[in-house]
Amino acid sequence: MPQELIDILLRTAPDTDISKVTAESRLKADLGLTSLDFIMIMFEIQDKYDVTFTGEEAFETVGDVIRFLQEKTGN
Amino acid sequence: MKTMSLRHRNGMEHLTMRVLVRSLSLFMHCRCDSIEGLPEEPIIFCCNHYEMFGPIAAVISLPVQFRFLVNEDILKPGENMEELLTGVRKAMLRLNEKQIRRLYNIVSPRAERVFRQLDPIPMTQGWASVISEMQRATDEMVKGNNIVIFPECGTPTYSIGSVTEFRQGFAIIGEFYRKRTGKDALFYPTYIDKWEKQIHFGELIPYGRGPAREECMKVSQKLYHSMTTMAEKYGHAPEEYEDEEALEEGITSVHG
Repeated sequence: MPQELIDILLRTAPDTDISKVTAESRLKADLGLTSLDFIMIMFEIQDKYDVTFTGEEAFETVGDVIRFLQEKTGN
Repeated sequence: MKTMSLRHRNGMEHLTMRVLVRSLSLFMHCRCDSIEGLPEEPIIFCCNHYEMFGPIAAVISLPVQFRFLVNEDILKPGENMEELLTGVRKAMLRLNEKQIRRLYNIVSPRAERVFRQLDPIPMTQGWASVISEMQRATDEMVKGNNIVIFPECGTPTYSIGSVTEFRQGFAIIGEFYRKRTGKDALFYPTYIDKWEKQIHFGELIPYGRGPAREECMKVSQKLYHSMTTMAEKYGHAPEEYEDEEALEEGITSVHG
């Protein structure tokens, strides 16, 4: 998982056990993120990577977020 | 400040809407506490929902120009009845299932048209869309429009005042607004008293300069505190809603 995304997770949802996070981890069911956690993650991602969310994105897992970033940033 | 204007596609629709709003005003219009002395900046009016009364009363009573955020389900014919029903459950219990379904078919598409005419910002129930919805709301504020939002998220208790817990994420609008304008967004606790047909306002709550997460939580908590304080001061327990269990049974029978 990209270190920058780990940093964002740790900053926005400090209770997350990073050692257990994989691309398949579900944001809500596995990581227990609340809606506020998730909004903060998106806010940080938008701020850091200068990407725009349309509201159409479906983020179920950590992998979905990684793929979104790869598509938007080309990395 | 101007009152809300109606979006209209043609003369007949506009006329229909004006008649409808006038009709609703006859029995749902609320008096408002004075808003003299409010800053010129756009303000985020945070209202209690109180079934469908809150949104309708806000639309026809708030003496300011605004855009409002509404659950997108209300804009879907056939799917908006759960939202609409909550305000008329007592009456529904007197109807049989066939009558209720007939009423659905009449009301649902028209309700959708009415709300679309009011040009709301639709809100989905998913997490992912909150950021884009709050950015749209920020765009409106930058244009000079006030925002009306209904941040409650709890199940209505029908206890005195009926203010339930508040969401927190919506307050992220404060971050967006600061980035665009350099100013602190102002949240205005707006208590709609259904029984006295009066709208009361609390103290303006500015979005602070701390970390986004803390500020969102702080704004939400302050709004909730202000709203519950007003609810205790002005709220009235509706006696006809005491038998909530029976009302829920009525709903269940409707939805199968």
